[in-house]
Amino acid sequence: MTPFDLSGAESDRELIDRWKAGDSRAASLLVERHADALARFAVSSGESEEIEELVQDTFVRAFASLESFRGESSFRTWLFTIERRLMLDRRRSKRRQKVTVEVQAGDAATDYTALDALLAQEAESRVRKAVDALSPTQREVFTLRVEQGLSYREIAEVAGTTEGAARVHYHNAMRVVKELSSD
Amino acid sequence: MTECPYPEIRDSLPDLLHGRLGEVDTATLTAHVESCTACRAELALLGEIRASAPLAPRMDLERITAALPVRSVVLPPRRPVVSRISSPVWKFAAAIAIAISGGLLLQDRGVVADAPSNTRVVSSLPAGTDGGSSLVEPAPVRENDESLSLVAGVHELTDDQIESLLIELDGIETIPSAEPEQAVLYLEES
Repeated sequence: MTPFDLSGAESDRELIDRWKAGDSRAASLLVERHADALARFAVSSGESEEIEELVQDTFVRAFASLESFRGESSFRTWLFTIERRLMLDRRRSKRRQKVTVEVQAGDAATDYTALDALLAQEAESRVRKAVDALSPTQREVFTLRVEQGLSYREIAEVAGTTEGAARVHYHNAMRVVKELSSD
Repeated sequence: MTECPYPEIRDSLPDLLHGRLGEVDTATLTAHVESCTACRAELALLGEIRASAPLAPRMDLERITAALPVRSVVLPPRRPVVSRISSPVWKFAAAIAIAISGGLLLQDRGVVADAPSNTRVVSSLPAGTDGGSSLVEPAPVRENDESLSLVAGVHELTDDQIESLLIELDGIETIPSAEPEQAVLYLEES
């Protein structure tokens, strides 16, 4: 059993089939089921702004290309893959923007002030600091493995790497976290 | 913190944390963790990391759902309707039928035209009911008007003409030499 199988509930595959048959309520259930995980993955990966927009874009892209979803991986893994690409695009776009646009001081104020405060508070914890100290690749793999519970095969699919590489990144990350959190 | 000498067990600790293992594996791993200090500590650390994961912001799920593309149901493709009427075989048969019936019709008219001009039609009315003549004048008949007839009577043809006509008829291919192609009609969906 995977953590995404909800006993008594329809599987993702069944909901996708229902949506394909024209049942829009199936889409609502899929969004309800996976939105939080996508948001957590985004925040854990370092995103702090417009999380809802990112999650929405992920779903829009996923549903727009649902015909290409073969079901070889879980629907959630596929969503993570799409979201990760969107995050990479965002970061590239932001890097370009930094060069040309001077950020206004007031622009940083968003609805996520409370979230930032919460994150800052949590970042004080030893383990969080340790995780934050990981390299981007290590943190991504570690987050997917520990916080989302993905297998190495699924992580490899999301991160566009191999199972072996994902395993190595995880163990290196685990070693760093152990060292830093025991200081 | 010392490490467990079984890397495959350490690999599976996140799966144990997320309940992704089967019953047997869960029991085996749980038993090992209880007896292995390193794995117990690592599992506790993993649990702490998971619990300290940043919270996701509250989201408007209805807004997200509303932004999704609307699914238009794709109907299975309709089977092409093969029109039998448009089949060349039927066209050929229909043409022959029309030609024959037309020929017969014109031939009938030719017979009327051949009728003697002094023919009179006798009324079925009893004599005296119309207070006049019991004879009705026939409709005017054109005599020997061959321009009306597309097919002249066989008796008007000479022997040579009949012979050449028969030769031509023998040469006509009544059955198409090749299998006719099926005509396909696609119905537009409204």
